[in-house]
Amino acid sequence: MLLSRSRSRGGGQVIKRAAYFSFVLFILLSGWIQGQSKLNIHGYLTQAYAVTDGNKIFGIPSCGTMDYRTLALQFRYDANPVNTMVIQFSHERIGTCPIMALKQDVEVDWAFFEHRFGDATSVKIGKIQIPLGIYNEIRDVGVLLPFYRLPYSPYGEGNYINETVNGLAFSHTLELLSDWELELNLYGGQWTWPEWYTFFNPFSGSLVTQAAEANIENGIGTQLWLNCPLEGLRFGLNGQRGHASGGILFQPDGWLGERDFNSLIFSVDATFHRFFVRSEYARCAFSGIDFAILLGYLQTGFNITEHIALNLQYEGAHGANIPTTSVTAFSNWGTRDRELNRDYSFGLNYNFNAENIVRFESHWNHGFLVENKAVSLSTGFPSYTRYIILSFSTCF
Amino acid sequence: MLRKDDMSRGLFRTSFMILFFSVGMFEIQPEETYTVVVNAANPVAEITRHDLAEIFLKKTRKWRNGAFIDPVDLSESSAVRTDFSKDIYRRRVAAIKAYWQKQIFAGRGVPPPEKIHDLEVLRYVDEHRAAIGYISAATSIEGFRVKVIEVVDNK
Repeated sequence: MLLSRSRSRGGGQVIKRAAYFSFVLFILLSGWIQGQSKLNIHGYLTQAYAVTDGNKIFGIPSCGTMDYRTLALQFRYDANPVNTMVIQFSHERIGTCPIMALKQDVEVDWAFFEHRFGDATSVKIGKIQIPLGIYNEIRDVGVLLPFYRLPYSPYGEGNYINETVNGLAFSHTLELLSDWELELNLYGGQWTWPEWYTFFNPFSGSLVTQAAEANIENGIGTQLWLNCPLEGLRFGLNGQRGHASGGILFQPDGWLGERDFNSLIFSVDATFHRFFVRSEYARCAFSGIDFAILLGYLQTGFNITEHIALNLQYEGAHGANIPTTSVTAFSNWGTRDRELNRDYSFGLNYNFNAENIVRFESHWNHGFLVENKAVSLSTGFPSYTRYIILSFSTCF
Repeated sequence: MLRKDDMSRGLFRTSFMILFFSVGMFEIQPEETYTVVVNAANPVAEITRHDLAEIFLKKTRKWRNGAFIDPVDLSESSAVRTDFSKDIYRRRVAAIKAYWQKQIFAGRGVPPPEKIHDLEVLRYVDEHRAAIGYISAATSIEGFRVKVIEVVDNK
């Protein structure tokens, strides 16, 4: 299956190196010698063991793997109350997922400079975590997540949602009447979508996986959050658009070709002391064709005791008007609607404290995400896969 | 066979017992076990619970005179912090901890520094003109250039 996603690889090495160099220089010039009270170092690690009942999915084989982890180290330097530099390095392993071909052992997650104007307004410039939906800014922070992975629909690797942007982000909070609050976030710049595709090579008689990155240019987006007087309840709306090119799908002679895209995400987040309910619905569409991807999930969790939580999740993805052949090669292409993925999850978490959590989860998946088969979205059949993940998360 | 009077009395007694034992389930407003302190040079004399929460969550960053506020917290194992958290945020310490974890790992901010003992809080507020902290109500502030300010209900 062709998938696109978002770990932004950074307008290349140039921005990454410039941000890194600027950060180091900034610290040296701004009173590093005076003491380290301005420097904060934080990090997190989640290590997992995962296994499936047959198919390979999300990099998890049937023989199991412990090559499944996320780790990050964040350096935050508050030069003064209004200026901050942040750089975060990360290491992620997703077993034998094809996306791993595009990943480095250690990457720059984000590297940005932030300036605050008063209490409610700030601007960030650099490689920035995008304020998108409930989870995008904390997508790998195990201690904050009910399950090891975020819902694949819509956050998964390959689902047209980007994690970071190389550019600019603006944030402002408005206090409305009667304790209502509106958070406004605007962002723009450039990012990439990693893509992978598995096909059967008749000459070698084996499966071949191809991975590449599509470029998203002239990307702009906004995330609104309406915070209610009832603490813990909020409603969100995200919209973004850009121009996709390159990679596998968006090559000039690719399956979809170069084209503009736009997406909308609606979010409901009700998080209280004893339980939470979260749900998001996303739609991504492309210019010039009727093809659209519809993604959504419903997640809930209950604190059975102070230390034990039970979590449940349903997620699904649907393709509307999926072209059955390349739109760049044929003037008349057929389309069909298909359910792309469905996943039911059950999980039990035990938190020793806020910084240390053990998690057991079981998933039942039905869809086209398996990685050990070359399946056509037009004519192929979805696969059933069950997988479990046992993980430990910590942070400091 | 029960007479009507007996049934009524029984019902009344049962209701009374339920009510009696239920009283313990309602949250009784805790007696304040903490006092809020600022540097002696700070002109502020009182502060609302809402403003105090905003300061310690770093949503409000400046005093009225334009100086950047410097909040200082007690460690999460402190009983005084537990009372402060319930009274000011109306949330438990663990919930505030989760809030800060989200802020940190979303790159949005870091929590106020934490001190283990009241004396460390007093020393910090003494040394930082724009600082604000809280200590046990039983701790004396003598010898430090700090003053106690009153916490009032939200206006």
